[in-house]
Amino acid sequence: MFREADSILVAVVLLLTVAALAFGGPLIDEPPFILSSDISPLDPGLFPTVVLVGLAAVCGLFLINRARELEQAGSHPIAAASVADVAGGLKRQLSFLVVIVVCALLLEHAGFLITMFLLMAATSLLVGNDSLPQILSISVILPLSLYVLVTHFLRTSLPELDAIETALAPILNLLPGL
Amino acid sequence: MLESLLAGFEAALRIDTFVWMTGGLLLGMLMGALPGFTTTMGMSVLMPIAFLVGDPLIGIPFLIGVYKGGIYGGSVPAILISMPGTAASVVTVFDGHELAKQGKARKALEMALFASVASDFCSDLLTLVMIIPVAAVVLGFGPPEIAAIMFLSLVIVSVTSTGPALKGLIMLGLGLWFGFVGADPFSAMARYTFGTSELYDGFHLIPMLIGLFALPEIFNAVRIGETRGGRVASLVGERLSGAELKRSVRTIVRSTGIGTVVGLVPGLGQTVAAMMGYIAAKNASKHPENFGKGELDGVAAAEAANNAVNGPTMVPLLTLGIPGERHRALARRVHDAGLAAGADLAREQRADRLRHPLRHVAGEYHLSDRRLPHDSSFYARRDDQENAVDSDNDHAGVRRDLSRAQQSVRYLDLDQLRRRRHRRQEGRFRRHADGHGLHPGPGTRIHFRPDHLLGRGQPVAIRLHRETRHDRDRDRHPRARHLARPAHEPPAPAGSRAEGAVMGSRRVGLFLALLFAAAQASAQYPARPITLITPYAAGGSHDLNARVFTTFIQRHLGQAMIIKLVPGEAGQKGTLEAIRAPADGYTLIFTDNYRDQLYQHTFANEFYDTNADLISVARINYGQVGLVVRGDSPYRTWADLEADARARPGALKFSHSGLWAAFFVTASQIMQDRDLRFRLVPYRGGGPAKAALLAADVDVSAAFPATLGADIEVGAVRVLGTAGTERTLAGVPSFAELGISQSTGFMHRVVMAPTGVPDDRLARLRRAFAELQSDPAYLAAMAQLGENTEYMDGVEYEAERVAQSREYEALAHSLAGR
Repeated sequence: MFREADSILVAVVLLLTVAALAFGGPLIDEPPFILSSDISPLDPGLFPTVVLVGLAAVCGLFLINRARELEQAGSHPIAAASVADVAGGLKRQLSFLVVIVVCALLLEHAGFLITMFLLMAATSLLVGNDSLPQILSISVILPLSLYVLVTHFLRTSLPELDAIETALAPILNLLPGL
Repeated sequence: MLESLLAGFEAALRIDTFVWMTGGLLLGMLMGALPGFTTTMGMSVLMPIAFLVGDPLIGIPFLIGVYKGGIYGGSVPAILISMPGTAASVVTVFDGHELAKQGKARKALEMALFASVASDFCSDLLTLVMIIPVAAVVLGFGPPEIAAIMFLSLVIVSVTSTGPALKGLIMLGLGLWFGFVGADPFSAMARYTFGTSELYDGFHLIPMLIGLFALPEIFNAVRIGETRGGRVASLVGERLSGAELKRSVRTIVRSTGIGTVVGLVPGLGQTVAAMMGYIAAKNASKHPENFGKGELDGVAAAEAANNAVNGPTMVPLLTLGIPGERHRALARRVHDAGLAAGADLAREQRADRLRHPLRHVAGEYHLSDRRLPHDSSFYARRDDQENAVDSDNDHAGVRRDLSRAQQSVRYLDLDQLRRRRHRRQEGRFRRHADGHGLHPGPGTRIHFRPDHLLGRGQPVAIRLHRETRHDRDRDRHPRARHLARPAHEPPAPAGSRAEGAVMGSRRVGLFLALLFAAAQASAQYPARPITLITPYAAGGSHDLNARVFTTFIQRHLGQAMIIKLVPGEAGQKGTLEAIRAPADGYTLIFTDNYRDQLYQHTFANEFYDTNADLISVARINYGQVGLVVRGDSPYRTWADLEADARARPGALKFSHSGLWAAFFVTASQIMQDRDLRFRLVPYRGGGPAKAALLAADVDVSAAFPATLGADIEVGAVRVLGTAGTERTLAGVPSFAELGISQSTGFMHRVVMAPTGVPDDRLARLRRAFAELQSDPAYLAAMAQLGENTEYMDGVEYEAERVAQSREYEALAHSLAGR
């Protein structure tokens, strides 16, 4: 099964490589004006083209080798994946995927603290933690500590709501700086 | 030598040094353990502390502690949660996390710690012994050789990794392809971004590693859904036994050797070393099948190799003056600064006995009778046929190599450096005290020549192109419509959001009510920290300058100024973010004249117009570019170089830091002013451009003289001219004297705000920066950084922008017309 998956993956890579070579022009921006070769000797499309040609060749070789192996060995049945094994956790995995996507989208709008609270609380619940005090403490204390550490001590910005920043500013100003 | 080493240990074991070094280690480990916080970023963030300490014998060990702690710290989350804190720890994940899953996390962590410490210590010793012979070899390494080694290492890693070689090569090609996504490092043109500005910066390694290693673990945990708090204790497990450690000694020794060799070559770095060490251990093992399934040797191999890189990276730094990695560049800045700051102090404390051991070795060597005169042949290798020197005689070649090593060692002569830095330091403070600058700055004297500029340009063609793309992309990107905001939109009422928040939060409880009331009381601008967007990567000159002035501006603003690094697309990504931010004075940008005024003429920028969207707050300072050749170059003066360039148009190679970057612009302006033609060779930044010059791959280059340091002192490079109208280096003519436009070669570092910031807030910001110029601590810190403090008020700088824009537009058209 894994060998088949490898072949499919490589075939997809080969397809993408050929497509990128064929449509390379629109995918790579042209400079607003052309400079002579003594001023700008490297075209932005040069290295990608070299690599893509090499990649296509290696993918082709891989597929040819695999085809020969299959011819020699004959076809073999593909083991069916146990649907039952997968189904149990699939719902939770999908839920987690939704949570991280939503949180990623929320980060700029809801700020770091709120988003991290939601993410950590939801993740804790999904991995099976059923202790509310534990979930709350992890979801509140950890992001808050990280926020103070990064913004106050390390002076590096994190996305945050103006209201929360304004509210925290007097407290943070009382803390000693590094 | 032994005496010197003992003196070094004596310095390191001083109680205050030891305490600070320990603090640095802990902070470094913390930063290394935070995914996304690189070691470079950690050093950059904490560098102002090293300056503020005031004692280089404390500040430098503190930063070394941060660095070493950061490299080790990355392995902690790699082992515990499969999330490499730094790119160097990615290989540690393979076996470290498997061990953690088997309940042997403690074993893995202890093995990582032991391997790190042992290999780091041994590689430092090896560096001490090998620095002289190795320097001779390393000096010959130019960008082509480094590229070849990098390619070789990639192929080795892919071919010798798990599975068939073809599969490894496909993954290698795929990885390289992903690496192409984003702006081309040389031309800054977008590749495979599909018109999405978010992809201009490409894919960052750490998020990719987190996605590859950490997220699958979380998905697995979610699928099982049975995590219990009690499991954490069982995961810690037993300690590492002596027998296990003994079994891994051979692996650690092997990886130390590999890491040491990799570290000697600038540009390879820890990730390559870790990968090669791991593969070597796997190939040498009697049970290679155990690797990737929780093999202690795998952890030892990776950690020993990546930590062994630390010491040897000092060799290219100290011999070529080229940092092997970016954090080494930071180390050099602090190091030089430390020498300057500690000049007086060092005398008092007999600092000549408290040098870094490396300097002691070098000093011993330097003081021996083998020292060569200043004018001896340095960097004799020349690849160009036209400029080739006689290298037929093998004996002479060996002698030259030796002389390179000997000369390079003189970089390390602390006494010379200290005296020179001290003289410079004194000069700076005298100038500040007198209230005069040696070079008042180009700002007041820049002139442009419309007759010359308009003669060659094609403004209509470019304008049309920009406007067409602008319109099309504005339709395609709804967010870009935000840019259509009128230049002077009415400002939001001050503190309105804060007030709303207070009203709502009073319902929650007394604590929050008091909290928000306090916020309301301080609603006068600025009521909260100000974000300073820096559109450059951590550790660059902009980042370092920003770290210093944001440390002190709080005294004059009443609120902190927090740096937000938004690198990518030659600075355009950060610029766009600043322009999109609300014009309320809480978001500023720290940019330069090229990003501000040049790029609008050179890139098809469809998202913003800096003239309409940004307004100057203050020019912090500027960097002056110098024109440099090798010390053994036949060009003794600018006249020699110009004559040869005129005789052979396009034959002389000029290395620069990337298309439309500072050194490229300088070279172009010189060509335009003097009607010359050089062959411009792009490199990824000033460091590689300088390496190319020293390795004789090119004939001439540009650099900021402040960064050349000991290169000038020992005669490795010769500066033919520096930007401006007045001489800034003894015996070196200014560009004006050479007939080069006096505005050429200046990179102005400017703080700007989105247009539309209320006047009172803009005035408040400008006042704070003006007050900063009389803050002695700020001035001292900037002087230690090796930067000038040629401040210019925002209003004054606004007038400069108009002149810059016209000049750059003409330059772009002039180059396009060639």
